[in-house]
Amino acid sequence: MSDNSGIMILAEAPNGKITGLTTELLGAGRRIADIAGEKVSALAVGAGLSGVEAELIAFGANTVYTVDDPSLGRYTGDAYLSVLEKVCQQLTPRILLIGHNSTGRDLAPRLAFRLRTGLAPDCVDLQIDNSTGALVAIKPAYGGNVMAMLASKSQPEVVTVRPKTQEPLERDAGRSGDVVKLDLGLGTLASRAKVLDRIMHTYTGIKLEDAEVVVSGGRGIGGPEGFKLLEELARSLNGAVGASRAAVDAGWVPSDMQVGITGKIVSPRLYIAVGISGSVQHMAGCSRAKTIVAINKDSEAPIFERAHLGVVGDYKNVLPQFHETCRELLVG
Amino acid sequence: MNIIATVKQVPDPEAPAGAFRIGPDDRVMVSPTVSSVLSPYDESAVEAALQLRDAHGGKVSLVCLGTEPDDSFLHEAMATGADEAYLVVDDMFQNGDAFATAYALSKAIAKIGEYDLIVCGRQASDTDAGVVGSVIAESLGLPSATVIRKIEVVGDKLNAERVIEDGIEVLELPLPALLTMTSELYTLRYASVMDIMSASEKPVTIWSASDIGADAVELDDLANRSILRKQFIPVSQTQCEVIGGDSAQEAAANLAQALRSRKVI
Ligand SMILES: Cc1cc2nc3c(=O)[nH]c(=O)nc-3n(C[C@H](O)[C@H](O)[C@H](O)COP(=O)(O)OP(=O)(O)OC[C@H]3O[C@@H](n4cnc5c(N)ncnc54)[C@H](O)[C@@H]3O)c2cc1C
Ligand SMILES: Cc1cc2nc3c(=O)[nH]c(=O)nc-3n(C[C@H](O)[C@H](O)[C@H](O)COP(=O)(O)OP(=O)(O)OC[C@H]3O[C@@H](n4cnc5c(N)ncnc54)[C@H](O)[C@@H]3O)c2cc1C
Repeated sequence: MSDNSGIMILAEAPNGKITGLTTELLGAGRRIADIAGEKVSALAVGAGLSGVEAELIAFGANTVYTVDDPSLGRYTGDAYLSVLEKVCQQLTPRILLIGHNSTGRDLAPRLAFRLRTGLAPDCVDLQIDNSTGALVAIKPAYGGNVMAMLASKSQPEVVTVRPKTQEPLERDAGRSGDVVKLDLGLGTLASRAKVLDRIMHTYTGIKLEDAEVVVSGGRGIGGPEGFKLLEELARSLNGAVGASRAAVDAGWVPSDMQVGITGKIVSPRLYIAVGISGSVQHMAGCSRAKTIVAINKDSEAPIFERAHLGVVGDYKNVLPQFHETCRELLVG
Repeated sequence: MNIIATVKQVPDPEAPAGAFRIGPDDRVMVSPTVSSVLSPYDESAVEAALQLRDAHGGKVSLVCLGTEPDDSFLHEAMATGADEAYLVVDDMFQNGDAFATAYALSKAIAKIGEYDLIVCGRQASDTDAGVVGSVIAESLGLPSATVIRKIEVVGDKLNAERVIEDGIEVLELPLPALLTMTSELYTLRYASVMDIMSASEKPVTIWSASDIGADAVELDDLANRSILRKQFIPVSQTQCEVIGGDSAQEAAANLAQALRSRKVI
């Protein structure tokens, strides 16, 4: 065994604001660090990071390391890879947690391979083995029909963590921690893959990932018109509209509305699945919702095994009255 | 333009949950009624490769690390237009993890030698790992980018649209490069009966570990970094309360009331 120690998380703060996923990683890091009796550090890589350090401490970091460089403002493969490789060699963390988002997917496999260590990708749960103190990471396979428990023999143990699976800590500005600026002496950082352009979606209304209520429609909606009913309901409930891949593939709604293993991961207070059968690939994106409601005309649909509440019926007959009663309850 | 596409055979990802069991050695057993298919993202990688070849000339080669020396799957996969295929099979690679798989594939690709672009799936739809592609790039020292929805070749470079949170990024990469593909914009073309027949004539080269110069010590180091401790089938604890009523309208109203009494709305 090497003498690596501590848990490090890779923080992301585009535009100087830490992401929700970063707070989730800190929450997970804190939880396992407390069991294992270790410390949590956050590594922030970017350009213009002042102010970010205090936020990371408020969300649970004992130490914040920053690599602040104008060329690191946005993720690019080779540059971030060099930074992370150097940091891991210098600071020798035992566990490195990275979010399983576009950055983590791109970075983690090459990094782990380069560090001569293992990788547990897209994990939904992290445990510490009571007898050995080793990290065990749980990863869904076969779309979520199977769970695999992965461990590592080499360090750092690199884990990418699926968004919305870990509880962040309450923000507490009273927490204290150290800030260390790293000078890695890497010289000019360039990546062979150059970013020519970034085209961002524009949103009207609430973002799907942030919504407290999500109303999603599937193939059972039958066409784009049906989604109007869902939009009206979502508006009344102050929520956002999502969709299954079947609805996206049919061209009824744009692909950024897709919920699931290859779409958005959401964890709202309330998830209403309308005309969605409940495939594992879809449920992987919403199974962390506090309350799942199914409206489906087939009482045998698998969604009824995953939902908390359900109505069996044609959504065209169910939704208008449901909307009406919700509205009455909300004003009343 | 010579393009290599890595292709993996997986159990049909839309098989019902009941089709999966954990075997005695903690490996996943899939019901024999579930058919094997080309992993869906690999289909998109193959389609992207075919479109580039059709536009710029050259050839498309498929590479697979298989479990049996059965090349019929690759003949089928070539029916949509790939020119040739390579199948790596060796006991040495059995039960390997993603790093071991990437090692075998990178050795095979190095042996094929002439390529401008490698395309892989963003993740195999059985393990959803998304590791093999990037690690092949790292082993071969190539630039890479992941979750690409569109590729265009411009001179001796390529432009790739990478899907990121809330948008896309347009990247420029020098060739040769490796990209992992997602499925939004590339749907694999159909093969006609003629295509299927002529595909059986296309060449499949079968290689062993020694053919590709794989080293047992190196492989052992890679394959032992991660440990698959055990696998299990998750049990759902949710009990669905089905809300009824004399009519759909009444059930709908009762549902709203049930949410209110649970303080959800
Ligand atoms: C590699 C891979 C990745 C995938 N990723 C995703 C993903 O990220 N997200 C995703 O959603 N899917 C994904 N899928 C697809 C997934 O397997 C399912 O095919 C898909 O989720 C099905 O969508 P659906 O439930 O809308 O359609 P269906 O399964 O066709 O279900 C439609 C449902 O609507 C009901 N219905 C019909 N009419 C009505 C009506 N009038 N009123 C009420 N109910 C009605 C039916 O009873 C049925 O249950 C993926 C698949 C693969 C292979
Ligand atoms: C959670 C988990 C559970 C596992 N359970 C089992 C099990 O029960 N039984 C078992 O035998 N193995 C099991 N394995 C091993 C697994 O099959 C290997 O990890 C696999 O062969 C490597 O690929 P991947 O699925 O991880 O690929 P990914 O990294 O997800 O694949 C990305 C892309 O790489 C390419 N690729 C991947 N594999 C191949 C290949 N063999 N040939 C050609 N191209 C390829 C494809 O283009 C694919 O789209 C498990 C692995 C994990 C992570």
